[in-house]
Amino acid sequence: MKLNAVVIADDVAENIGELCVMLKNSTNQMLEQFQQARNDGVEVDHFTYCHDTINKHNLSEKVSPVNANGFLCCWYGHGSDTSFNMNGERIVTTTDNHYVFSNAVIYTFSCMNGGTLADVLIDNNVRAFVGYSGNANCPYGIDNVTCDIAMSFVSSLLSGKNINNAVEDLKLSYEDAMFNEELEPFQRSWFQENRDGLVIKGNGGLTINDLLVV
Amino acid sequence: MDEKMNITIVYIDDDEKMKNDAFLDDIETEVDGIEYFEKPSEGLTYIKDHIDQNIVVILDWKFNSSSLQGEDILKDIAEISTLVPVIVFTGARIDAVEASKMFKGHAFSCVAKDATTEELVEAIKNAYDRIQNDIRSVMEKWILKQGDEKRSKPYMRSGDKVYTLNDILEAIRKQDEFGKETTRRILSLATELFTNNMREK
Repeated sequence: MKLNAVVIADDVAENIGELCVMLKNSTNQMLEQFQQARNDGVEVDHFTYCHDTINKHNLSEKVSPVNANGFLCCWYGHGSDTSFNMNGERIVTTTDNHYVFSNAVIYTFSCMNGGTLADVLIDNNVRAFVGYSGNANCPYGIDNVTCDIAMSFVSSLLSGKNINNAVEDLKLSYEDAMFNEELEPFQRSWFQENRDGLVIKGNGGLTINDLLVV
Repeated sequence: MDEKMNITIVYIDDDEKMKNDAFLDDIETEVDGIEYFEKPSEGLTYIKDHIDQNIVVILDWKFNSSSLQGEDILKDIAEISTLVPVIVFTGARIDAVEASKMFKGHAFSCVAKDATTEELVEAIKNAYDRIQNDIRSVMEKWILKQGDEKRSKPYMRSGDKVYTLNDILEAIRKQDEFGKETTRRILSLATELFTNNMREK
């Protein structure tokens, strides 16, 4: 059995490139730990793409090999209601590459992808989508905090919790930040906004085991 | 009120005899100080230069020696910051049209020039209370406490925009869309932290 995972991170995203790299590295580290922790022979095939390896023209070619079965897909970069961007290019839109993610559970840290784009992806057989209906705010100088919060979803999902419960854990991580008196008031309020903008679309009852491929 | 109010009164009035009116002496005992300006432009410059202090403006409405009238000055003050309370102080008869201009211009209150000193002091105390209690003023004070260097550095990424604390301060003062949204967020956070009803800490 194996878990296919695709991590797409815009390492050159304006103002947030470094954060995206942190998110990518943390995700990959968690996937490796997941494989080590499983004693049942489950292997993880994870494919990581950044600005120099993926664009809107080759995205389908990169993702298609795994989309016949369930897979985990993480996006980190700039987004809008109708697109996810890489290096300023709209690589997934409501009319372009929207069909590539069949069978995926998609987790994003990007602005507004939880709106129209998520709806279109679900219509195109994405099993579940977790993201933000509003901005995914990230205060300067505390990327480690933002990264830890965002990773709590991946950690919970890989621990065996279903998507709904993993999102609850993500909300609790945001609430920890809201209550953290070492953070500044504006930072705490932006994390609150992130929490309130979280959306789950599709089947929130799925667990990581539902994505394993024989 | 036992202690002096921690505010400077900026009094803008082109009626020179008001400068020496006894009511100013009475008010002076209640506040940190009074700055009198016959020329509106000088009063506006003072407000701009001392925006990090608590200011309450007392503003005449009809000016004979200036092309600027109270309505214009109100707009100019709101351009600097909507957080500075302005008490319109006038001997002119205020009809509904004039009153509407005052409210639209963010006037805090209106006191007639034939009011008693106590009535004017009461209006100043109300303005002071607003400065103390308005969440926007609290946010402004917090940002100003952060120091010049921190305020001018990138502080926040939201969407494709980057904001410094100075950008946030300006948005709060002008209450543009981002300023209103930021204010709403802080209130929302304060409400949740205060009620603390979502879970046990």
